[in-house]
Amino acid sequence: MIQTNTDSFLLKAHDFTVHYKTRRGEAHALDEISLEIAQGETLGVVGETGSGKSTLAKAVLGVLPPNATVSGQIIYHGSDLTHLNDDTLRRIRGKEIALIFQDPMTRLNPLMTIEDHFLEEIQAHESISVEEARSRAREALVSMGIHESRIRNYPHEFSGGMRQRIMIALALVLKPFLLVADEPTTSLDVIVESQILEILQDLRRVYKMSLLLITHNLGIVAEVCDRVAVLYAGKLAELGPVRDIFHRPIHPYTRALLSSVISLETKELHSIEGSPPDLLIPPSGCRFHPRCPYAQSICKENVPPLVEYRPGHFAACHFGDTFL
Amino acid sequence: MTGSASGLESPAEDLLKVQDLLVHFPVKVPLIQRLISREKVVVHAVDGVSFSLKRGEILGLVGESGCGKTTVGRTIVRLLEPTSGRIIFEGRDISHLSQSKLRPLRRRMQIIFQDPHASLNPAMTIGRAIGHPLQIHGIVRDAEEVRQSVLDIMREVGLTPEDQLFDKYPGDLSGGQKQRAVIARAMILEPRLLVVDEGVAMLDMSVRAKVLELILNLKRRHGLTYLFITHDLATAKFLCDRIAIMYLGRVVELGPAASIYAEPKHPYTQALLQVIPTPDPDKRRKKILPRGEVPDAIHPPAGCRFHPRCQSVLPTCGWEGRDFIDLLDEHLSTSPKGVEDDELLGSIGEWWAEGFEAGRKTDAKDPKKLVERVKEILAKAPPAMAQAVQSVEAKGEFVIVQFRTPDKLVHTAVADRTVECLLYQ
Repeated sequence: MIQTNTDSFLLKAHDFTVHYKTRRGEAHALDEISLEIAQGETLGVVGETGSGKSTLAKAVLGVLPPNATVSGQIIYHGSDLTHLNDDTLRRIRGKEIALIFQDPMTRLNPLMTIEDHFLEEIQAHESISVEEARSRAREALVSMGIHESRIRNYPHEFSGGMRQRIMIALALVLKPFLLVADEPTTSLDVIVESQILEILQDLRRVYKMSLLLITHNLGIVAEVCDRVAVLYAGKLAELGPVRDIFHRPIHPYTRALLSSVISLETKELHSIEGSPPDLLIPPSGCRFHPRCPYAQSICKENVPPLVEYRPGHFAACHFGDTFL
Repeated sequence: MTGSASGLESPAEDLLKVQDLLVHFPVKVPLIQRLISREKVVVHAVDGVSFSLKRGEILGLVGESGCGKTTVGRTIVRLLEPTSGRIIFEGRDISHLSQSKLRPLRRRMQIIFQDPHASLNPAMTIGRAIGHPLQIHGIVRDAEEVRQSVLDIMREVGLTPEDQLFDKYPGDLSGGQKQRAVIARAMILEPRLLVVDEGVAMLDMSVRAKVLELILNLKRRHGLTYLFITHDLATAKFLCDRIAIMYLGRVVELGPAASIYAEPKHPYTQALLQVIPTPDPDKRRKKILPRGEVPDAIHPPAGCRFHPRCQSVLPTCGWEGRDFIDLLDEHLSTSPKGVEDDELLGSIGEWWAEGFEAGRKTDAKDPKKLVERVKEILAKAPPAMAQAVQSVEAKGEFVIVQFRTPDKLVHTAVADRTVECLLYQ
């Protein structure tokens, strides 16, 4: 195992690679990803379908499917998550690293009351009395603006926004260091989405918790993230402070993605030619080259290295200099 | 068409006219409950919606989930039958036409759904799927002719190389290509009206623009008319000529897209526009969010349905008994527990609300104390709500909070649009 320095990073992925074995061959879902999350920071991971962003979330939680092969490291508190045994992982998962999903209804057991969900979660990680667990559950629920009398209700008795708040309360009841949110508002309406994002930001301030926010919505990223990682077809295309990414993007993919966003100010439509590649046979060299308007022969031949162009602002493009 | 000055168009120019459309869905109620209470339980999915669609225009129907926008879309193409109201398509009332009479009309109005993957039969090749409607409607019988029409429309919607994609299965196509195939299948019948229900919501950003461009191109080339149903205000702004904002089964604001975005009138429209995330980290700002969530459509709020969440609410907007119960619930759960409150107010379950009344049976010797406490709580309520209270009185063994009856809400013409809000009446 590699010795790690004890800097301010809570979690650090180094050359992290995930391949899935499928019937049609090996899918290169994530390829040599290196990034870190500092304590108290919100890192946004953006990408389209097949970019590997959900694979990254699963890897951080140690819940990759059995057909995944992993190389590289994810260092968390000095140890490599990819080498921990299941018992240790289970202790960390939920307690130190928690997750909220896109669709709360499919993650809450319809046959269990909200209180049962909390008790199960708390008692799996801490040996405290039922009474104490109950009072912590109530506290967590009330902190999300849900009346404590509703703790005996079943999931179907709540609205979508309330269910998502219950999911957040469940994830936070053990006060994790890192919250992984995989498209946490995608199934919600815009107003409720705003409410949830506000809650997440408040929590981060109060608990000094780190947040890994995985989304395809660049508007949300602009509103809540400190730094942004842009994934394309399993490769890290660009990584940097949110202002740099939005105002001074370097990678042609990031630039194209930003201009394809439809906002209230949109006057004309921009799209990216072609479609994301098949990860079973990813393009050679830079994976974006078949769709890149600036591609040269070197882009087909060599994989571009991730270069730091500005302090903390990295991009993987052979012609990064020309886009500065 | 700009503004109300252009009232010159003859009604014949309306391709579609929807008048006072009502679509209610019955709710399954257990037999015993049905015997006890005679009240018919229905979901008021669409509750009095009127608009018209001019030829060649794109009308956006915008709202959150549960507002009834999808039900409007499905009812217009008569996948559903309206409870009441009229749907007039090309001058003909189709509200209650039988299936056999509808079939020839279906050629002229098509609908596209959100999920292209679910819209295509995985066991049918793309070419067959697109050509299928021609055979169903008996328009073209010759196989070679069908193939040629399919290849033509595939080229037009950008499903190229068309001869290679013709024999592919939906599973071989990307999301954007599948949505193009669905559009091609609808377009092959040369419809006049296309209802697009969240047609780009599931597509990745980088391909979404392409499909929107296709929608615009088809409109230009074929003079198509669209009803574009979406929750995405930014896309609607870009695409639509006019916008109808829906909330809980009602259209609350309707008018030209440009002016609605420039100056939204209805407080709900204002709220919706404000929460759209701006893709610029320098424009972060604190938002003033409406309270809570969309209430359920079985018992929509009285008066203006948005009133319990509205920032600009008036005393006359429809305050009713259950609004008081909500206030009390919030009070009981947020304020520190006093023994006094517990005894006086009891638990929330002991209170009832019916129409504009809320109350509680009290066995206290001195109900005046409870009356006073209720008045104190109301003093901390939003001012509009407090002012809507007509009386708090002890009547026999009950303490009753009585709200005034709300003013009648009507659609009001404001500048170039119609708004359903008391602020403008």
